Amino acid sequence: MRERDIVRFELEGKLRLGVVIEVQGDRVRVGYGTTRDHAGPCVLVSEDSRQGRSFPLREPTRFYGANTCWERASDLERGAKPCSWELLNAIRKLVELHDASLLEQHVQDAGGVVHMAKLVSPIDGECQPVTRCGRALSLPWQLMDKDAPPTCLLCMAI
Amino acid sequence: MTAAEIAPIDATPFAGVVPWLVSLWRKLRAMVEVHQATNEEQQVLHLIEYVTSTIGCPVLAASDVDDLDDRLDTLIGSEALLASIQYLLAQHLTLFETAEPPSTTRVAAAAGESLGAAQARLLTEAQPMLDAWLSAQRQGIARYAAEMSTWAGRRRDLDLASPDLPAELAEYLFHALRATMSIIAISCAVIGEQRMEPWLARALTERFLESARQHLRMLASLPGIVVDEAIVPHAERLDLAAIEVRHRRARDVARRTLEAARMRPSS
Repeated sequence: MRERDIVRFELEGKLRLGVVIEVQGDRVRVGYGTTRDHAGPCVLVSEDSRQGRSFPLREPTRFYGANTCWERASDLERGAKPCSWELLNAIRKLVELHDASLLEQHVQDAGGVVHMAKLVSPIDGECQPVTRCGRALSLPWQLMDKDAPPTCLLCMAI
Repeated sequence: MTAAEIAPIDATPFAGVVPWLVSLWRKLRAMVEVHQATNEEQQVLHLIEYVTSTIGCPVLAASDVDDLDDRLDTLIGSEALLASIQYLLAQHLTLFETAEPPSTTRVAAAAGESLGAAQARLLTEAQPMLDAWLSAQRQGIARYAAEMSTWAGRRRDLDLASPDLPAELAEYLFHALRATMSIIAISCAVIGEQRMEPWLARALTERFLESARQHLRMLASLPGIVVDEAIVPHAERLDLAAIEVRHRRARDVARRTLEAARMRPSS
């Protein structure tokens, strides 16, 4: 198994098609496709394109930066040939952008408390802070400078 | 490799010698015919013929556009092939520098017979961009000549699929390699006096021009390489520092998600 391989595997009861973007020992990170159309940047692969035929896809499939998972290599069924360099690079760019946005930031909640939070992009593409202390902040929240120290005691203690 | 470590030496596949291939081949061929070639010159002649046929022949044998892209992808993914050719060419850099300097006009004239008039015209129309591309590669060679002198002794480790290479750079390096593969295939047709089918000539020319343009964007972003603002506006250049920061953050998250996955109980 190596980067650029096309794989088929089961994820939460659904059969998925994906592209290997990283291999670490027996674990493989896969960027997988979905037929559902969500907001947010994605790579769209049509079933009748060169890439679509090589999977092969039965309908238009989208790859989002958030749709990745680490799987055991033994749980993946490898396709006959690797995906194109262009598709691999396009998926990797989305995944890097998404991952880079997941680092913790200083976020102030509606009550004025500053938390350490990750900005998670749920499937609909909207950002939502999930705090270190385990809360999903609802609006209104705002991003703060790093100079603003966290005031949530739990966030600081963890 | 980090964004900061990307240098023209890596960003310029085959040390930028590709534009010299046809003119040097012609010069060496003529010298061999009149028995005036040195051993090194004969070796380089064979090397050019080896490189152009190893890369060019499979590309020129494509049956349709999808097959062409598959073949280009395969060559770009062949690390052993790329590394060995890079190694061999780097040993003869000084000889390449003695060849007639490449120019877009000469490339278009030389390729006209193989590509046909329509594609040769496209090359001529792209002259400002292609001249800047050739110049950027020459600047890279001149600036990093000392580094390149140690290059022949070791194999370059450039894995486009490696997660350690920022995805944005991988994309531009892909274009660097595809531009190189395309012009080598065109050179192969020129050397073999082969006239390409119109669809192949069009597809190869389009891929060459698009990838050269993207490669030039990366070259224009590297310190020490000067490219006219009119050809590559500053807004289109890469912010290598930002790419590196983003990549480091992303790698950090990838490591954490891997650790989390390893801690999950097996299902």
